[in-house]
Amino acid sequence: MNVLTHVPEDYDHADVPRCGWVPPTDRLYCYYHDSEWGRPIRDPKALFSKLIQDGQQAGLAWITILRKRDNFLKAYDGFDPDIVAQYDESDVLRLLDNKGIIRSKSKINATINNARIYVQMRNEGVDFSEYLWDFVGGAPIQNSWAEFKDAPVKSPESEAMSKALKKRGFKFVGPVILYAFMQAVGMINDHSTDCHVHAACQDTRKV
Amino acid sequence: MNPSNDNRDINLDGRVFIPIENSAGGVVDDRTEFHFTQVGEQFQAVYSGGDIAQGHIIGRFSHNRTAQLLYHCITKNDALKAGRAEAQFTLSDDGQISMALDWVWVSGGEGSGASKYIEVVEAAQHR
Repeated sequence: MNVLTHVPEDYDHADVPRCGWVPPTDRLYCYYHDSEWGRPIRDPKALFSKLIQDGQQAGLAWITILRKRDNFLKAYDGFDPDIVAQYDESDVLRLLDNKGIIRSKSKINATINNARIYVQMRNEGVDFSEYLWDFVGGAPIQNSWAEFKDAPVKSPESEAMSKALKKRGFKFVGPVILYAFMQAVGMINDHSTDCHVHAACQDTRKV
Repeated sequence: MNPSNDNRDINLDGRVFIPIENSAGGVVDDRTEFHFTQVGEQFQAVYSGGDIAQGHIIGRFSHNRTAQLLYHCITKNDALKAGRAEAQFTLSDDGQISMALDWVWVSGGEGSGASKYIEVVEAAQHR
């Protein structure tokens, strides 16, 4: 799974051109940007995990989730939908009591709900990865923003994905959250053109 | 203050709000922007625009989505006003925060009212 929870000791976050949202002195944020954000993810369970992480961010700053990600992954069994779908009330109470995560009942319930829908979709023969990537035609959308602030907060593709996921019963999947998700998992390359990772994320291969 | 408490599911730091409703007797309108910062349970906002020359809020969360706050402002007519309010926050399915205030003037104005605000979503918040 393409989830990086620790910054390697030898990682050098030297002063290179990066997207404007990255605080240059924050090593964790730099590493996340350099090694994960915008890199295409094709594994269905990894995509589910990222979708849930973006939902956990609702109302908060992404760095809050990033700093707690180890705790989240431990508390939620790696966001493995097959395990989370089996959670019962005792798991809800356990999560509400975990000070290392966001103790929001609505987000906990949404995570369990979404895992159950993921499993149901797979039982119906739907590959979650193919399903999501279809909203961008199977390959990353390549943008060329001079500055990150030029990027939109949602798009027709994220609107369509939101509508479809909501229809299936998913929670915390509005078009703004999904646009951030699509950026993060490499469905949309929104690295600014002067960012040192922009070229590396120009993966145009289809699923 | 408890700066380590970031378990709540709403944080106002860096967020911008605009009013979408206000009672008669209120002085802010949809030309007024509120820029928030938050550390731990405590937050501040500066606001201006519309009839407001300068305004300032200080507040603190009492429960996950409830806060008490004090505000004061100078209007463009040079009137000094101050009040207090209780805020209730809600979170949309898209992560957008809304704020509803029950407010009362304590100086420079009379009466009370209710107002609603919505977050202006910016790309950088969602990286």
